[in-house]
Amino acid sequence: MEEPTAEPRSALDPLMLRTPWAETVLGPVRAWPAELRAAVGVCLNSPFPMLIMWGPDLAMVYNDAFVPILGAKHPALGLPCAEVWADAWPVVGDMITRVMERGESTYHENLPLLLQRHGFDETVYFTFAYSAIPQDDGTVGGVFTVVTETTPQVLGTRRLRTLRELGQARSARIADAGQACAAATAVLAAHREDVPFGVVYLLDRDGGTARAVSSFGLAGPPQLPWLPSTVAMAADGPADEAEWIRQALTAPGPRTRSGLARVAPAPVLPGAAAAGPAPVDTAVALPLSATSSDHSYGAVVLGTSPYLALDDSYQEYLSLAADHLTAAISDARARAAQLRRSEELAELDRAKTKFFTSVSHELRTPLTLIAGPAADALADELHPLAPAQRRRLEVVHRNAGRLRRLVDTLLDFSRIEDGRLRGEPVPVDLATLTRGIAQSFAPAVERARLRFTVDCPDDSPAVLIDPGMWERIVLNLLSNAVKFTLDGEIRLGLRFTGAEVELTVADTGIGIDPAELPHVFERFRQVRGTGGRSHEGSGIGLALVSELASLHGGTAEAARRPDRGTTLTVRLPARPAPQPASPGFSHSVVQDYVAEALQWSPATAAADPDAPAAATGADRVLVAEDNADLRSYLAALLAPEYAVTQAADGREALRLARELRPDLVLADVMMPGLDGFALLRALRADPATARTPVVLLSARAGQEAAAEGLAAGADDYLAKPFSSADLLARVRSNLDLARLRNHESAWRTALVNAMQDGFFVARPDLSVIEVNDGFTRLLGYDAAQLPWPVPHPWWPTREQDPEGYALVEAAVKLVRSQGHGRFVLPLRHRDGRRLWVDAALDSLRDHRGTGRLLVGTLRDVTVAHLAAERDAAVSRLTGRLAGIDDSAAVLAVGLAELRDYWQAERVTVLRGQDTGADPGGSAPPDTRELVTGVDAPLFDGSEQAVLRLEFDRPRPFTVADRTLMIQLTGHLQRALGRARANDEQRRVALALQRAILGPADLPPGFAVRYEPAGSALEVGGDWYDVLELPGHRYGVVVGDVVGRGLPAAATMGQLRSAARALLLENNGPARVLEALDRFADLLPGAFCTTVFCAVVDPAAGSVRYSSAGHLPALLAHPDGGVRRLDGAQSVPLAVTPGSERPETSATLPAGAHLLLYTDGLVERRHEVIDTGIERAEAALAGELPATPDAVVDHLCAVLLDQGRHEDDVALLIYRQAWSSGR
Amino acid sequence: MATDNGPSASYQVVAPRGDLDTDTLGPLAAELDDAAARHPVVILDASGITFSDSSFLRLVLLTHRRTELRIAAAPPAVARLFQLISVDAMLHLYPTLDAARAA
Repeated sequence: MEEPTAEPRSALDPLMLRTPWAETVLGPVRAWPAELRAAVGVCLNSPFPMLIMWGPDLAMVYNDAFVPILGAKHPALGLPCAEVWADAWPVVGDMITRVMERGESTYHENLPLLLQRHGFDETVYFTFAYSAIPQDDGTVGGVFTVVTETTPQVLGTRRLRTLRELGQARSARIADAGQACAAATAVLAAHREDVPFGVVYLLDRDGGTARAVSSFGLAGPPQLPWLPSTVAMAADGPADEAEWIRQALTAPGPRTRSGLARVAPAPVLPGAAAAGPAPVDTAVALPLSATSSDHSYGAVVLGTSPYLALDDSYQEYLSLAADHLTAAISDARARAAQLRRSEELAELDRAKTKFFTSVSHELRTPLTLIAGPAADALADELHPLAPAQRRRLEVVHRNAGRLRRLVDTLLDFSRIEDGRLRGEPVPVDLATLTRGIAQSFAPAVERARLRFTVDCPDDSPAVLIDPGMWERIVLNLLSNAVKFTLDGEIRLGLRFTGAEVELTVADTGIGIDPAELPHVFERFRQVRGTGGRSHEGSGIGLALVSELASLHGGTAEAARRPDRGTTLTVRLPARPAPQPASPGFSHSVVQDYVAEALQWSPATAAADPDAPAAATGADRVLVAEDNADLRSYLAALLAPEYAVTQAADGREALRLARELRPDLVLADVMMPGLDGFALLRALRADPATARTPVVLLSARAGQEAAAEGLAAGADDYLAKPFSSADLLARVRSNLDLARLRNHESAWRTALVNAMQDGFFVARPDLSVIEVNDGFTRLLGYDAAQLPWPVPHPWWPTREQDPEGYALVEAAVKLVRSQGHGRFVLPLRHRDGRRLWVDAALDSLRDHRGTGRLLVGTLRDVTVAHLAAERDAAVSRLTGRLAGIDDSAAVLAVGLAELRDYWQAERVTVLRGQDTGADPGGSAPPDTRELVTGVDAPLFDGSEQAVLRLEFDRPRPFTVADRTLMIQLTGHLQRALGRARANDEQRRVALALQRAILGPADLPPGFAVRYEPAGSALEVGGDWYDVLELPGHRYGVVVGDVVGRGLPAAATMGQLRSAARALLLENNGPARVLEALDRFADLLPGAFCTTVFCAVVDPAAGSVRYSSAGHLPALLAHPDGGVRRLDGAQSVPLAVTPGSERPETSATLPAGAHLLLYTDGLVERRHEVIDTGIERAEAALAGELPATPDAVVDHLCAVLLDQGRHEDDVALLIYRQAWSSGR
Repeated sequence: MATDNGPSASYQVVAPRGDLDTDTLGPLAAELDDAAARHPVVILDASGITFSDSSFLRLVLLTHRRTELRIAAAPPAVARLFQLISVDAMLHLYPTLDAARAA
């Protein structure tokens, strides 16, 4: 194309440019009408496939996206559509013509096309939407075609349909896996577009080989190396072509195999794809395994269409198809198993009937020969039976009848089974017959104390029916009702409803579980459980009713009554009879039913007029048996030797056993209400009857049944039938054994009770299950109240006795973890007394060896414990008081001790009170009264007072408490007396000391203190002195005479006087000490006395000093610095008499403090003396109180450690005033 | 308390142990008195002394006045006490028992 195509601006490609438009029907581009240009503009710029057909020739213009749709037809720009799409024109031509002619929009849906989009011919689907392009003149210029791909929708819909059909195929009743596979492949064979062929492999039973059981889409069975007819699970070799299938058989997930067309194409039947006959190149093997288990059924190989991309949705489709196959196989297998089971059951049922038939036949003859002679004997008036023999024979006769009825019923069944039993219908007045049967049965209903209502029409048409069978129907329904109705009524109704006879028997008995209703009429099915009158019956009565009804073309139904009870209904077709026949029914048959039903009712259990008298003193045997005959038989058998009590069911037996405590219980296993095993368990669970021997009777023979009985804890087990001798022997031996055991147990009990100590047995949870007499004596609780769970009533409670509670709690914890232990615990007697008990616990295996038990002994150690406690309290008090010689401290310590011992809230000493209080005398002995306070007299060394204990809550204060209180107050009183004496002595000594020590009035700036050591009762040798000297100076002396007591005090007094005199003579400190040396040499006790002598001159602000072996004085500067005045140190007095002493001076700045002291202030045992001096220096450093006295207080507080100093302390402080001098 | 006579019986070693105060000083006083009466030289092995107060000092000074008292191996607290009351210069102090014997 020569001309530039500025408009439309083509987005297509050079093709648009190259196209010789002028040669086409459209003509040169510039000549195109505006509408065409606009349309082409839209088309070329769109990413979606678009096509424009223009003009009468429908010349084509299309975009890039449309090129693949054209496929080989491209390039076709400008060509007439009808030519290009010649193949499709028959379909689309009309449509497009209509669009051109009428301007309608229309579309062509899901048109399949083959496109090479991914390197192969792919079947794709498009929907073509055609719309008219109108021109200015109102005519249609062309057709605008928008194309949408619908491949996913088309394939999805198609696959969904196939899957749905697979699901439908599954629902068919197929019980064979192969058939299930065939049904599924048949569905797949009808939809081969997606899966051209497929082969299903199923693993054989042993899992060793997988076989192709079904295939589709193939010409003949699979026989290719990669698609064999069988796959052995053990690979043939490494290069096995079937390995991919084997993998699918053993592991989850699909296996895809491509390139098959090259290897060996599968013989795929033609017609799979409309697109063409291309060979299948890819197949997928999928495991057929239930997702819930690892169990694999097999695998399926599905070929994929060569015209479709194997994308995610395709894969998904294949695996869903495989799932459907799996489910079909699983269903079929389950159904097969079900069928097999029901066939087995049916076979079992047939075998049982056959067996009963043959057995029944064999039984009839001996039965006849039992029942006949028995009846004869009973009826023989010539040779009447003695009453005892008659009773026995009546039992024989009754039970022979019962057995005969059972045998007959079984025979009926077998006859019904093989079709030999046919009714012999005769005309019967059914109402009269039914009423007669009901009347005959009435005694059994009455005996059962049930109301009996019979509702039969008086006037009824005669019907054709087998009267014998009817009789059996009525009797079975009635006896069933009596059996399962303990109280209320039984209502029999007969109605004629035109074509039918309807017989209903409604009872008020235990209903039937709705789930069991459909099974009521099944043979050997007892649906009412254990709540009936008797456990007897093989569950065939109602089954017979049903069979007999159906023999008459009728039905039997059971319904649960809304309130309670059951209604059984039998409907038979009423076949009219010409004339009613006289009613007649077999009395012997009725009698058999009645006789049996009579036996279920307890009236017969109560009083047996001729029950053999119980031997006095004989062992008591309780017989629990629901069958009255057997019960009477057993009772009669045992009566000569034992006192026999009878119970008609397990519940009554349990009650009687608890009440009478029989020596042995003989119980039937099968009983209504509470069966033998349940009775046994109940007896064993109750301590009162746990040791009673129990012999079980059962109709079930065999080792297994016996083992079950013995495992349940029965002492013996007897299978019916048993001989009377065997029974008696078993009963006797079990009684003997029990007696022996009980003898042992009685011996043990006697032994245990003979113990003075309390004894108990407890379970591992500590609940007490056995106690002896000693236990009862000790704690007041007796065996009748057993068992006691924890917490035991004798344990102290947390509220009342928290301390005791904690002790018990700790003991319990220990016993629980260790299984043993020994403790002394505060327990509470039943009457409230508090006891101290020595408890020893240990654990043992119980006699059955199944669990552990705790055994414990208890001994009352209250007296010993309290005495020990008292001794401990006394010695604790005396220990605390020892060494305290200050009466205030004695009182404080003693009262605290008393308070702690009784945990009193407060303890006070009241002086000047009425002192009538007496903890021992005023209260009655053994008082258990709760008190909130206790008084005791106390002479505190100077006056009579009252010591009062007050408790925060009321508590008992026993005699023991009172005794102890007297003891303790006694000790306290004596200690107080001693302390008072000491106080007095010390007071005197102090007075003396202070009198000798020094001046009471001190010059301003001075403060002194003398602190005797706490325990010191003697005066010491320490002194201080301050005296005013001429010239406004002060002589200051602190000294320490070695030794204590009056001699030391006397020496000290002499030295002090000498020092005063020497100072007043205006001697300097050194001169004073030299003179004292000479003086001390003459005084024997003065040797080695240390003295610090100083002269303070406040006006000059200086101090001159000399030390005779004394510790250095300390000078604290106001700036916080402290220095030792150790510049004039020399030996103590009299050590080197006659030698010269040094003297020096120090400046006293304003506000400075001078401290002189004796060694008691700083000397501490096991400490270098400097440490103490440094402590004093530290106490002086820094800010000091304002007055010298306060400084002294401060130093004592810091350095004397609350009076713990060992030696007496004398100290002296001088403070240099801020304004110097006077 | 252990005593040990020297080979020549010219001195006696007295070795007190433990705390020495007014209440416990009696035995040592008797021992020193006895030793001073019988030997020209008394050696006090002070190494076992754990505490001493002024009464011990007095005893030492009294003994020193009577006889030649050699004090051996005084613990620091004892030695410091001698020093503080200025008697260290007049007493015969030896660092060890052997030194005291050899003197």
